[in-house]
Amino acid sequence: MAPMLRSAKKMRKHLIEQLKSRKVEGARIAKGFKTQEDLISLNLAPQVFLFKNLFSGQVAYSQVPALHQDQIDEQFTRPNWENRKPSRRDDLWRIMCVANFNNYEYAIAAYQGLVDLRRVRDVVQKKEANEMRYKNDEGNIWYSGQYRPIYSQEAVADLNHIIEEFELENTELLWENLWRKGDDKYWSDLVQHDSLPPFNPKYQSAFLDEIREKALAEFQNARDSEITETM
Amino acid sequence: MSINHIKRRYQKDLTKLPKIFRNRVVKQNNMFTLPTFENKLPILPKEEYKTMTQTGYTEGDLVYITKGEHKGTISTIFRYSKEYDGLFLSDIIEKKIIPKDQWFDQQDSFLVDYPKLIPADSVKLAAKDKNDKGEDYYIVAEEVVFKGKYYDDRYKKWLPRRFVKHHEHIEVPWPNPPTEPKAGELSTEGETVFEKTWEFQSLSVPPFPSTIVNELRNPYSKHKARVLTELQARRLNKPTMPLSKEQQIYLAKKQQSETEQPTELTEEVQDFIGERIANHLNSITNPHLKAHLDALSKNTINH
Amino acid sequence: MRRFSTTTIAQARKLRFESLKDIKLRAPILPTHKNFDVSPDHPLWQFFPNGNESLAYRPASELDATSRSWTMSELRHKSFDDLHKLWYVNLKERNILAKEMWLLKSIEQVNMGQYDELDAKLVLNQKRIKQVLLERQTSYERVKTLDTEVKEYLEDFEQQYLNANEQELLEMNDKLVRLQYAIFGIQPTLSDIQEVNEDLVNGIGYVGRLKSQRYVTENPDCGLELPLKGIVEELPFLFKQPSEAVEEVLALREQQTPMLPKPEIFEYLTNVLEDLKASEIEQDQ
Repeated sequence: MAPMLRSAKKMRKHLIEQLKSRKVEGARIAKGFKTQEDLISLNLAPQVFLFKNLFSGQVAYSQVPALHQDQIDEQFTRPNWENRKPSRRDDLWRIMCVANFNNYEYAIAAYQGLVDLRRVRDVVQKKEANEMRYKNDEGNIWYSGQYRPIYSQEAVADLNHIIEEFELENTELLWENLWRKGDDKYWSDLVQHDSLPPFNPKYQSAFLDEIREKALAEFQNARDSEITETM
Repeated sequence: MSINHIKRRYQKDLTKLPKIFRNRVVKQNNMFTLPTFENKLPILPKEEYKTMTQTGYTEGDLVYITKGEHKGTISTIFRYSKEYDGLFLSDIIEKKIIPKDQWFDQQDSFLVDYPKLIPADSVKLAAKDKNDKGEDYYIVAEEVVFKGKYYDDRYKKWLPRRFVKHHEHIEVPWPNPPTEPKAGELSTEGETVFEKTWEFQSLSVPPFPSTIVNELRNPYSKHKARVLTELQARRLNKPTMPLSKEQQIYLAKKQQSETEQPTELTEEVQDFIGERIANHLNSITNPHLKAHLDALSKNTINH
Repeated sequence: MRRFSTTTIAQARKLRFESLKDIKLRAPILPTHKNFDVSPDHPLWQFFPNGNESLAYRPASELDATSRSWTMSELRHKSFDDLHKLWYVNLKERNILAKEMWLLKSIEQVNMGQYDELDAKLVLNQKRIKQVLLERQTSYERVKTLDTEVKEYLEDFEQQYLNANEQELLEMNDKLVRLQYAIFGIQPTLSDIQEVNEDLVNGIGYVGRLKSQRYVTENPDCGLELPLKGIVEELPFLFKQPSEAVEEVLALREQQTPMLPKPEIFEYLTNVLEDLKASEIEQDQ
């Protein structure tokens, strides 16, 4: 090993200082639950973002086009060898679906519902949830390495569940790949499906921001047109 | 090449191992196989595989077993295994025990009939014929000899005729091939195959565009005799050191001295030498020495 | 069209789960390929034996075990284009087999014997095609060294041509056309000539000399002084009647056109041939 240059040592010292000064836990805008007022004041649209983990296949939900450690802590309780707590590494979380709702109440209800259903599957009705999962020869959840495809399938089912349960009409689901949607028989009139435009995963955060802006603009337009109608 | 060809480089080639190691590897391989499935015959290397004309028989031929348990039986060849140099005969069957998890559908017994692999050494070609009375009788050929060639339409090949050695009036014709060759999915029809689309017509027309010669032929092949051009040879060999002045002088002198050939003696010199010798001889007083010298002078030198 | 509504939602509307224990969980929704269309012409279908309609792999029993490889003698009948096509047909089949073998390896299938056998036959096909083409190439290259033999033959032919009588001349002319192609690669129809190279130049020279010599011996009063000077004077003898050609040469000599220097010969020939082709196209039209 070649001896470290003085400049390299200084850089290293600087980096360690930086790391110690502030613990990086993800996008700060994603920290904490957002009420309707929060969403409006932060210029966020009535959306829910579903991120899939490329490594384990687990799905994380967010009201905001980014993830924070708190959301992971909230959504992945009761970890075990089959359902480990995923890392917050940005490069492993890829957008799976963007759900655009009719209004902020619906959006918040959907987010809350999804998080609740996650709790049900992990904690309250653990056994029932496990029974529905596809198993391998040994009786464990089917895996290839650490990847378990069943989690993303469960997330899609949960999304379907809350839309039907709460009758969230006029939702629009933008899928990263329409393949994930599954058979049409599961989905009703309440939902319109579409696919996300093709994007470079390197610039995912910018891309999702654009999606947010677009949805916000649409929401504003629709609201204005409604207001003019009523008037 | 494909992945399977590459993978073969890492597989143990039993035929290339010395016998001691081979037995060990075979033993290790057979550690978890049932005794009924063990292969008792050694595997032959590819170079030693025998063709139809080398073995003397083929599928459908009658053979006579000369050694072993079934000595004396005549049976038809069901299949020839070139890897083991063994035959599967249609009548020689043995029962093998198969564990339940390897049963095929509709199997209801642990014992299954399997054709027995018979080594080729213990088998000789046989033939059936009818004698005058119309009864069948068999001939067994100790050895087989091939003579002549004819085109066999059943095999679609040129085949030699088989005769029994030392009884060369007895011909054993090749049997009917067991299955008629059928056109498979990838076959080309005969008409299309024989269609001639190329004819050599010109000395100066290349067979394919010259730009792709290097795609068919490796110009850097290490198996070809590498010939250097003069320029390359000069570049690769060290140059000769120019001679220093002293060396040049030395060599010039040496050359000169070499060219200096011995000249004949001049008359003056000859006279001078003669005079001196004569003076010396005349001054000798001893009579014995004189007599000796006289005798010596009469000697002739034989060249 | 989507319509957003911000009107207050009725109080009766439920937007939270009341009791988590009483929720009936739904079975996971499996993704399906029916949600998007894949064109049956997608190039990746070429890795499957039946394209659109095939299964993941063919069982060993479905493979072609009865066909044999092409023999060298059968391949030697085929042109380069045919062999080229055959090579790629083989390659595509081998790709399909390689995909199947890889797939079977991943599901731990051990009996690859049939696939290996078929692959070996296809590899043999490809090797033989390569061998046939290289045979032709080496013989083409070796012929270049047979200078003396070719020269002798050309000299013999010259003698025969010059000494032929009128009846034989027709035959000899036909033979000359074939000889042009056989030795110099000059196509019978001049518009087919693709490449301008040394052989073409030599051939034009030979034909020009031959025909001009014969004409001059037959008509000594024509006024043409041999030898012909350069490609410009030799070329007319290739595609015109000797008498016309001689006229053209005499005309050229009157104009005192200088002899074309060597580096410009190829350019000159390409231009002439292009003009010829253009004029032929016009004639056809």
